[in-house]
Amino acid sequence: MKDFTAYLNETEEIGFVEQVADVIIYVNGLPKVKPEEIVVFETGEFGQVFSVAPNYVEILVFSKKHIKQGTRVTRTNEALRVPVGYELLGRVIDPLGNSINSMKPLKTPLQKRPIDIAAAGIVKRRSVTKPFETGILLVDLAIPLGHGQRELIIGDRKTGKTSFLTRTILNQTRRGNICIYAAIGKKKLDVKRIEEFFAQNGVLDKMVILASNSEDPTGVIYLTPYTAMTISEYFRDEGKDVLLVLDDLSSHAKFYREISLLGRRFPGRNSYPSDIFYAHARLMERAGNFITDKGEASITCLTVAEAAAGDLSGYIETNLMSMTDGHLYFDKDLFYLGRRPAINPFLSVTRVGKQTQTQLRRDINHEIMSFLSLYEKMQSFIHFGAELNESVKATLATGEMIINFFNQAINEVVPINLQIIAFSMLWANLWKRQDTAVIRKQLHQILEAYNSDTKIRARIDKLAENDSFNKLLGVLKAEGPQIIKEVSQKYGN
Amino acid sequence: MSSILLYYDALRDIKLIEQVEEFSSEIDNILSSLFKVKNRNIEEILDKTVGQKTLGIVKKLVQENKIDSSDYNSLDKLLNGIKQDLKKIRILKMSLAIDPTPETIDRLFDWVKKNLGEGIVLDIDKDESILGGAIISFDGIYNDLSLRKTLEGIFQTKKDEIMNFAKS
Repeated sequence: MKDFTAYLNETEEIGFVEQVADVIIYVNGLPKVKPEEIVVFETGEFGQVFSVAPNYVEILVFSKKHIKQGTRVTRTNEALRVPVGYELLGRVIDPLGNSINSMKPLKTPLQKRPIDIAAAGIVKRRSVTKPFETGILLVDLAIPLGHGQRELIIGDRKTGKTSFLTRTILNQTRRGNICIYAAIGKKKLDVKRIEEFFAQNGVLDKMVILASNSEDPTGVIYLTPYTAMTISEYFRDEGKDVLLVLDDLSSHAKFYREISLLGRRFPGRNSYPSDIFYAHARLMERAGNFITDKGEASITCLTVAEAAAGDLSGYIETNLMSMTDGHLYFDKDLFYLGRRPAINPFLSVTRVGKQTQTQLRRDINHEIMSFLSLYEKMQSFIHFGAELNESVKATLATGEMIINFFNQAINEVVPINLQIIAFSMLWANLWKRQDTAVIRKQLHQILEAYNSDTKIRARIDKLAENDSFNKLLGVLKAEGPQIIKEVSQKYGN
Repeated sequence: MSSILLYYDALRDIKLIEQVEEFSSEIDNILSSLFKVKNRNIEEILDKTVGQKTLGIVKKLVQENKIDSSDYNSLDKLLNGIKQDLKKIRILKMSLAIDPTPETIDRLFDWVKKNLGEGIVLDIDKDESILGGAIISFDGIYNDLSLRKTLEGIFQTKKDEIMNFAKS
């Protein structure tokens, strides 16, 4: 970027700061300035034109430094652009593309892209057809997602949303996809923890962490999801499947509300600006499955929204639900019951994920959802205790076993083929009502064997190629016990 | 902007931003002492609170607006109106390499009045680094007409010729 004098001589337009309202600065002058253009202050700070009125221009400033009344401002004739490139992989950057870690200077990529662009049209889009693996049993089997899907992750604070997201990122990076994690106005400590988690798991160099913390100027926090989407678009255009996590858009809405109120915009519902739906929908629309010069590539967007006291009907939450292709609801009550992840399958929705499933996975999905529904109804009979008939008792016992099966240890990622086989083994009653702890242990051993033993992996992968659930169950009746036996012998049970 | 032209005859001697600020501050003085009990009439207030120049301007405005010497409310309204209108005065900022003489200021002001219209005052500052000429900012338009910029342009476009000349 050039300096103030160079821009002043180039554009020959000047303005003077008239009023300062936190991050919004009112400037008079700059007669030909355009909305969203970058302007430079003589003190070296820069900002973006927020709105243009006949007598003044509103500037959203990206600096913490106080700007005084009377400071000179000039235009740049440029929109806000951020550096994008492979150099960003493995780095933690701020929304303006600067490295947050001062000890590790960033080699700034040469390519720059404007951060606020219109979403690609229908010609460049393709249907969501590729399944997206999260590594979470409940999601992949019951509420499946597809590459290019936009899924809302909604729930109260501390219900395991971030844990779910980090595991999904871990799984996706291991599969060679690029992940962008955008922390919007988070605590520095939380961002550091996330960075350390990915560094420990050796996947940091396949992802970009974009972080703005709560101490940053509101203008910078506001930019976070837009920069994250721009970086995602770069990797998409490189032919990569990208997972973008926006953590979280309800905070983003609050920061945008703050800016809008300072900018004297008329407040709407809950004092949010009237264009909050437009602002978020325009952003979400940039994700999806696309055809690029380098083949089909997708941006799968997992957007987080924080619900207050389990309320799904909040303004921003319902907005986001209507602009995404489904939502995963993290239920506080299930969390307190010890369910991990605490996803409520009945209140969660996936609109395009099921179309990506194979016949086998669709069969399993159908079985799970209808059984869970039945189990939920049977729950009300529990208080009859000993008076229950055998079939109800069997349903409740199987239900409990399946719920336990869906419980996953922190950071445990289960590949999809193993998920299919493990569930089918459980469904085929191969463990014959053993203690849940034993089943859990053996499942974990099968997972370890799958990850370390190529023979077992090949065998499980082959079994998962069956085209129907009934056929698979038939095969498993013979092969399942052998697998359990082999794994038990391997781990000395 | 049009209302300031109503007072224009009275304010014709105000040419610089400093004079606007001084005039505005003296109006504040008048307004703050307008309703003191010990004052007997407007003339006495004006004599006590403002300098000769402002006194002349305000007295002229009082006469033009036919304000009675005991009608404080009308004077209060008039002065508040002027104060508001002073905020709307357009400013032409100018950086010069020299301190302009009063004659130069008069000439500049007359040129501005003739070419850009009335209701504009000058905000002149001295910046020796521009060497000569002027840098002008008005209504958001910035124009560097300084000798420094001209010389920089010459040094850039005729760099080779200058270097050859220096070598010879």
